[in-house]
Amino acid sequence: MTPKKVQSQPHKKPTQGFVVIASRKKSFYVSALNLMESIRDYMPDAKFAFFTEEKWIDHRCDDIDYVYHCGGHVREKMYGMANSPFDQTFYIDADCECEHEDIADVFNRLGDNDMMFVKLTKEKDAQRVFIEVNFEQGALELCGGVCLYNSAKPLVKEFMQDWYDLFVKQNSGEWWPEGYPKSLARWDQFTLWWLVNKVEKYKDLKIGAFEDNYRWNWFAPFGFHADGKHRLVDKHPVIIHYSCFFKKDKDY
Amino acid sequence: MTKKPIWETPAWDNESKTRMIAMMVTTDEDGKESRSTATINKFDDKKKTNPDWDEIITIHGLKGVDENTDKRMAFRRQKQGKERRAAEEREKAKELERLFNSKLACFEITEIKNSKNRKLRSKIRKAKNEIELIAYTSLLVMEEYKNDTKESAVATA
Repeated sequence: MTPKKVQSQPHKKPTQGFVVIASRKKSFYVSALNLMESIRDYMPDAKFAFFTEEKWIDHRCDDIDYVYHCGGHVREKMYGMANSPFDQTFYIDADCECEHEDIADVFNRLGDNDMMFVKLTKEKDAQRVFIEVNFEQGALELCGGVCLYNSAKPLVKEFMQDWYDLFVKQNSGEWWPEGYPKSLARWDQFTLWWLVNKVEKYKDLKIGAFEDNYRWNWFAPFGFHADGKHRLVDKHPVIIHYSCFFKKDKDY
Repeated sequence: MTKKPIWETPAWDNESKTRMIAMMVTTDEDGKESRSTATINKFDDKKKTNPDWDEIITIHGLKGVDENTDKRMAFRRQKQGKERRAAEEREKAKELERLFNSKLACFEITEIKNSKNRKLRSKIRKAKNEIELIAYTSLLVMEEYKNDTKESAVATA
């Protein structure tokens, strides 16, 4: 019997792209445009989904692949993360800038992880930025400034949506677990910690950290060594996070 | 009653070696120890030698005080070096902050905002200092003016 020839299905490559969100302050919009352009400096074919407030959108958004209107909540970022149009997404805070060609390789780092974050560490230089990491019941180990994730997986998207919904409740005072220090209520990182550690349906999610950790979210206040090299990293950072340095209230 | 103080690490406090600085360790009747830095003058107001001075020299010797002074100076130099480096780092971080915010402001200049010149836009973004930033920003504004003038000339013709 002649074996029947089976037509092999072409392997569909997952779509990959960056999610950037700018809400509340025009300065975030200006910085977000700079961030996307800085990524294109090293990755000209990068795809973007940009979530921002309708009132700011101008001609500079014309060559952005997806532009969505978002609200003005302090943490629209998780809404954007939950609504990524890509299969694999790299979310980056708007007040960042890309400074290294390794950005072009970021999606290869996901491996079989569902999500990847930069981990907050205990070095003195890191403590300049992360002022409230430890609490009695645990530690805010994951930094939400960047997140590489498998957005094709429904449970991951559900996680992002829950992160947003729960933080909105946390931020408004509608939700707060008993026995946890109230001072943590301002951090979306606490919501992230809660979902990862306390919510049963997410216990099997595979959450990883970048091997070269702070290169993917290097905060400007980390500072430099005497020889001018960036602290806490062995190689030039990929993403520089201006965060506390950034003039959020500047009126453009 | 508090016991007689113990003097530790005396060092010269002036060039003429007539004043010392030392750690004074005292112990009260409950055995509780307290430490404070004391300045010891060689002579009192009546030009009489201070008994504490004599005691310190007897215990530590002039050589001992010289050695402590050297150690103290080395420690001070090290501390000053550290402070200078920390100040330089702070300045560098501030420069980074200024540069980033200036960069964003440059990208909001109408000519830059509307420019499609990716090469010069990238140069502006990668500027290492304010001088480079101003240079590339000016260059791009001039380029855009030139293009604008050319387009207007073509339109008029």
